[in-house]
Amino acid sequence: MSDEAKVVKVTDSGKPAEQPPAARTFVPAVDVIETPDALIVLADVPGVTKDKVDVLFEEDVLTIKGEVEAAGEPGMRLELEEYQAGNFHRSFTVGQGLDVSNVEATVKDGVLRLLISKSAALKPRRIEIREG
Amino acid sequence: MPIWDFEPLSWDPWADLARAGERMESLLRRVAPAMLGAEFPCVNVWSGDQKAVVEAEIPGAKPQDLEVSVQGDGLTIRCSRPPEEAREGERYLRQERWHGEFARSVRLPFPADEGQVSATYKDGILRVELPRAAAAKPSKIRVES
Repeated sequence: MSDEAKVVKVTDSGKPAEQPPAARTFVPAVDVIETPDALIVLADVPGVTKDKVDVLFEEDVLTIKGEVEAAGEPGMRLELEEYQAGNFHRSFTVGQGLDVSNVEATVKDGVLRLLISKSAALKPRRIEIREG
Repeated sequence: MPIWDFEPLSWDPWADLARAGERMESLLRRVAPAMLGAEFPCVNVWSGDQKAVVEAEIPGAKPQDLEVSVQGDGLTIRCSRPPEEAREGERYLRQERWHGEFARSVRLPFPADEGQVSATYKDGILRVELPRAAAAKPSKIRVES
């Protein structure tokens, strides 16, 4: 499979958040789904390849960044431009209880998918009931 | 001779406003196409001597959910993206991404050679290459004396 999703490293640099790049930047639409033991974040980032995406956790702020190569057809004339290629940038403040050291990030077909585990304290636990 | 000469006005506020409007529209098309009543998906069209190229941003589609058809100088793109159903025990905390079925027709700069059209889907972008139909190719006419 050529477009095999790749696990992106999540860096926790502790540095102050970088300024978004000066180039045209768009805010991607996201879905956030809560499952019993994780949070799934889906973001539409068309044109972003797996090596051009950055996922950063800094304290309680999750930042996703994607870089898009400028679209263009050398030697051709642009007849109609309804969208412009640009980079993506979005930050979220995440609540307590997420295990930020345990994040899986994949990019496929222009959709970034993050799987963020809940910390053990938030995961549902079944308590065995013993006979007294 | 006037008392003073006006420099021709080099700053055209209306042109600036129009540009700002275009920017705003292009941004809105991107983030909230429904607000403009813009057709979805948004497309970019390039033309050259030999072919035209049409690109559309359709992230998260499967190739089997994309349909491209060409007739003369008309190109139609159909796509669908079903919502990801939350399974048992899951719930949406936020839902901003579009889903549903869309169809979009675009007029090409020239009629295409329908049999030679190719379409690829990569990184969420659909790209259609449409070679110019032989009848639409510019031909040189020899001028006789």
